[in-house]
Amino acid sequence: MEKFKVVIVEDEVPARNLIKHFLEKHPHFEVVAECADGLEGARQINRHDPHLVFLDIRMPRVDGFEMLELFEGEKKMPLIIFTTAYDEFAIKAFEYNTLDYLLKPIASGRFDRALEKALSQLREGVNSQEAIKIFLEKRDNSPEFLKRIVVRTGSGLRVIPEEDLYCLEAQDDYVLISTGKEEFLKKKTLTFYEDNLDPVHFLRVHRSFIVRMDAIRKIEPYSKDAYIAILKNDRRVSVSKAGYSLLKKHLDF
Amino acid sequence: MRNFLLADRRIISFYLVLFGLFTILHFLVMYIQGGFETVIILVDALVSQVLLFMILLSLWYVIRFSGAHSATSLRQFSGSFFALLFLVLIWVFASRKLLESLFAVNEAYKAFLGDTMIIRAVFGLGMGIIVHFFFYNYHLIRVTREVVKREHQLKNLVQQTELQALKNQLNPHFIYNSLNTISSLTTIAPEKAREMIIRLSDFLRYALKQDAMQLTTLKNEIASIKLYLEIEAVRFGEKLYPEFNIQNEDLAQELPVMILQPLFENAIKHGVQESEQPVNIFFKTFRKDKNLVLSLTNTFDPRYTRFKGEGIGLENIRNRLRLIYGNGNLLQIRAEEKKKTKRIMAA
Repeated sequence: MEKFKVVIVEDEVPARNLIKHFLEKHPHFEVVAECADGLEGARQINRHDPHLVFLDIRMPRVDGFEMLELFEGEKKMPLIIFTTAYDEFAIKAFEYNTLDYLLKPIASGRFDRALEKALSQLREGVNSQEAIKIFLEKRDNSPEFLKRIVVRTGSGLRVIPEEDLYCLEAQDDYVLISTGKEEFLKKKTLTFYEDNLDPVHFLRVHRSFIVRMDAIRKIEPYSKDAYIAILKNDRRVSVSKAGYSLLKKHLDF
Repeated sequence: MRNFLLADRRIISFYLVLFGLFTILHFLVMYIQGGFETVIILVDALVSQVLLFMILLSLWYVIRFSGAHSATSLRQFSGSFFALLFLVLIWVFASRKLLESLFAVNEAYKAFLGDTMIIRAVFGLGMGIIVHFFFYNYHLIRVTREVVKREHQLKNLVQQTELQALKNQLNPHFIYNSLNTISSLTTIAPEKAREMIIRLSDFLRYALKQDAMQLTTLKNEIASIKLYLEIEAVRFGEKLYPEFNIQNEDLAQELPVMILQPLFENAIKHGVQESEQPVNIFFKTFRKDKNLVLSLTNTFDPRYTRFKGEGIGLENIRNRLRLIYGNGNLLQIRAEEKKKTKRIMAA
């Protein structure tokens, strides 16, 4: 019999056990890994390449959304069933075909229906990559500002707290994220960060740049209508005329 | 409204003494001037002063209802002054008519009454001013006393409410999460679910019942913390290793109820949950200059945990300690490398 691989990413022990217990009734599925947070979840998904992932949203360290972001740009993605105790507006507003969600406490009837749907989709060979991409874009409307950014590095993952960000630079399909000391590439749009970073601290000063206002050391004229902001780590950031007047307004000079 | 004179014996006796003096003064002035029999002078003084005594009583209501709340209110003061003038005029005419009718045959006295009207009016006004001053100040004292009392009550009420609100901030997510856990357990391990419900209800009984000012013993606090940790341990499994090092003689020490739980909640949230490795929580008590110090330390992973001031839970503890002990500096938080310590000094 064909077996589909399942990874459970869920921080609470009893909830993990409950999902495993419910899965016993479904012989087509087999749990290959269970993880308590998004960081471990990302590792296990990379390692096992599962068909289906149960993903808790609020988790320590790397949450469900951040974990999915790490896979942006992947060609093939597993089906995702979100599990959450909260009425996450993002999910509710976006009940997408290849994404599903279960509200905790999870009722067995609802669980079975979600699994049947997943099973038929897996047999059709559905790829949820597109749905996840749209889902993450929709999530941009979230009313909360980003507190951290999770990036992939050569050896693993890095969590960059919002306070450590100095500037972000658009580079084709990627954004170059700079802290005072290091730089990371992430597949995102600069507009996403413009919308989701706290505007009290961050300002889009140029088509290609978002800068943290605290990180600016000085601003110098560059040409007739352009300026250069020099950050505390001596990094130079282009500032357009419009960006300059925004800075002027925010920094009150 | 009750007449204040009946309500306050000291005031009525003071008022009576005042008018006794006025009457004697009235009598002496007329006696020294001479020209009339002692009986007439006595009747004149008594009738005039008793009448003035009664008429001026109504000044109290004028002052009272003009709503004077501060001595600086000139408009209110002048308003009651005009009332005073009016009352004195009434008195001058009424006392003249009354005395005239009493001594209708004594033409000399009647003439005297007519001649002294202006002097009497001035005299009456002078006394009226004294009475007005007296009433006015008495009224102000009453109002001020009332205001002070009300302020005091209000302050007490605010403090009570504040304390209540602070204490009630047992994180609702905790209850919600526990119920979710119980729901999972009912399917996979019903026996554990039952245990969990008992623990949760024991803990909630302790956490919700008590009033915020109440002190409890360290022993009770520790017992409730252990319940709390057991509940959280079911959720997070093997990652939680609490260690307690409490001196036996400290167990009877009193401290505010539910003051420790937010510290442990914080330790779990930032220590245990955000960490890959099992996290240790050390709780110990010791004495420093006779004061009891409660110290809670948790390890944490600096890669994922940041110090962004105090969360609402710790802020609450600080405020409660301030309200109960009058010292806002009883909670100390210190972060060392991979270790975070919170200390409470209990008086």
